Amino acid sequence: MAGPKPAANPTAARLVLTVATLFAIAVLGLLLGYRPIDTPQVWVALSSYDARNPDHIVLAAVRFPRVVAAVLAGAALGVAGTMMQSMTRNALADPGLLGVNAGAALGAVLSIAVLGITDPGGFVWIALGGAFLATLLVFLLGGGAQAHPVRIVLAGAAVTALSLALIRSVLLLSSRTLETYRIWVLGGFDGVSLADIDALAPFFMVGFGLAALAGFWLNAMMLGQDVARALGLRVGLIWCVAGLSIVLLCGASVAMAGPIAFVGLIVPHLARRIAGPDVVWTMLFSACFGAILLILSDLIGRLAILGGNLPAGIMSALIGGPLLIWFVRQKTMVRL
Amino acid sequence: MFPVEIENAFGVARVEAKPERIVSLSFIGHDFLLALGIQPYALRKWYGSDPYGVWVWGHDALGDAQPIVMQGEIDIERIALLAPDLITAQWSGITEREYDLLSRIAPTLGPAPGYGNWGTPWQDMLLRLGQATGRGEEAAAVVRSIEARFAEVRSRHPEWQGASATMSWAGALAAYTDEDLRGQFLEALGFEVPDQLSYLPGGNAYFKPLPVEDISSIDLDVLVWLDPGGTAGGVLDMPLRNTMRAHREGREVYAGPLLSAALSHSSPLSLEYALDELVPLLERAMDGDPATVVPSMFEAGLLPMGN
Repeated sequence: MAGPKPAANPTAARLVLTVATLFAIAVLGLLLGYRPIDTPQVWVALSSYDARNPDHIVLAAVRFPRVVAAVLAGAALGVAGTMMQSMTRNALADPGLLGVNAGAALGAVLSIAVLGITDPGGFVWIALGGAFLATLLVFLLGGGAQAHPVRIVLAGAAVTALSLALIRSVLLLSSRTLETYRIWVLGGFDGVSLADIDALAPFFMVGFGLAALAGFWLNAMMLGQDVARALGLRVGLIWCVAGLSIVLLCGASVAMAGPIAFVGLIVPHLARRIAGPDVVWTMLFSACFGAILLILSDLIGRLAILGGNLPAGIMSALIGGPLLIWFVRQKTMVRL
Repeated sequence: MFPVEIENAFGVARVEAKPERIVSLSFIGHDFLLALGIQPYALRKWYGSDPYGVWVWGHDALGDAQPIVMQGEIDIERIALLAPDLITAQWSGITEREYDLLSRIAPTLGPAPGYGNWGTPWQDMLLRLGQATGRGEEAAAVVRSIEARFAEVRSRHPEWQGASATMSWAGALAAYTDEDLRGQFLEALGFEVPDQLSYLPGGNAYFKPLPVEDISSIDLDVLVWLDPGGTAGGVLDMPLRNTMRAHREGREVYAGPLLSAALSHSSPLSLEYALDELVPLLERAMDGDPATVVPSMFEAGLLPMGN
């Protein structure tokens, strides 16, 4: 991997190939599942939808929202993971380090325990609010605009530990809460509807927009905060934009699908191998790989051989774990 | 009458004398004791807001008694301190190891052989309890009277006999098989809970999660939606609900939190309540006219608006 820096064009070609793969896998996500549906039915459902045909209903109301949600959450977690690793210059950084997942989980647990909401669709907004509050707390504890990566990560660890302690005490007292929480915490796309996706779409869109902006700045900051300052970039501002983007992207995906393990950690490594050290390119590949990983995780979990009910959050870790091991054993990791 | 020996799934309980201090570990067992006129010394609360875990159908029988309340996992040490002379644990989910430990504290009435932890029919549970407490005749009388009520409903409703039915969860998509007390309730009314449900992957012998893409296993003549949480939302979110016969032909019945609890207890006390409430709803659902509104479905907001 040493040698001359690859020109932009081969990378672009690879991206086109990756996007094509993503589309192919998304189509696969529509075609396969517990219920056998003939391929031509997909076209029939698209051209003349019949609200009484169970095949059409499954395609439109079960598989399509799941694929869209998997693409959004996978891309969001991949992009957020890339930013997180670049910002902290830590290959083990995961969006969860900012306390997003812990905050959302605390929100979810309190919704169940205090408000008695048993349907995860009912606490989307409270989980999102928990994610925002936890991240805000992490940034304030980490030093606000003067934040240093190490302080942020430490603050994140502290807030996460505190939230988990609170969550466990509530779960210990209320077995009813545990019943709902233990399913939610696995993460998955069961019961995600187009209405949920619609409601959360603005968060994803703003999050992706800010991520693109932060990506260009982070490229400059990769040279080190002092160099970035010399280049006239305000480090605090970059941190705020990237941080806001991360909390929007991760908050929206955790609210939609629960805390999905591993995607934000593993996908950026895979992407960096192909894209090199450039943050923006890495983000684009991360978005595609994250989406592919989650569509596949959801798809495998839905297949009849596994009972048709395995949450994507379990599958993504089952796929991501071995991938990470394989990765660690490669000698040519791209350094941060 | 004493001593008596009663065979359990895990061994034999030998009760030497009429028990006076009964610790009930079955989630629904206190109802059964109360039906025999016995107030448990301590009981295991299942769920609900009542401080003693006794639902409305048991309040008269409980009277002013203030049993010690246990909740959650079985705490063997605490039970030993209660010094019971009989432990009843028929619908408690105890393991063989717990049974062995409990048996050293006092004779323990575990689940009946052959039915698993949650499948013993209520009649057997009551009769065995009657035997262990020296109230065999009372138990037999209660069984006869409730069975007569079921028989009377069956004879009034020949159209129910053999019709397929199941009780399903209104929250997460899942259904009870005929090995569960709730499936047995429907079969006691003459309905048929299809065996096909038992063959679904996942879950256990009593309770099967349904794949969201294929709910043909509950596309039956009658569907009873159990909603212990009172949210009902899951039913509306079911994408394939419109394809089910029971929905299209107005044969869905909604059981709110109280009726769900009565069916889930399926105790001699709660069965009377469940029959009072559910039979009229089933009659509306099964009247052969899809236009007849099942009141509980309407009240729960589960019927399509203007259709």
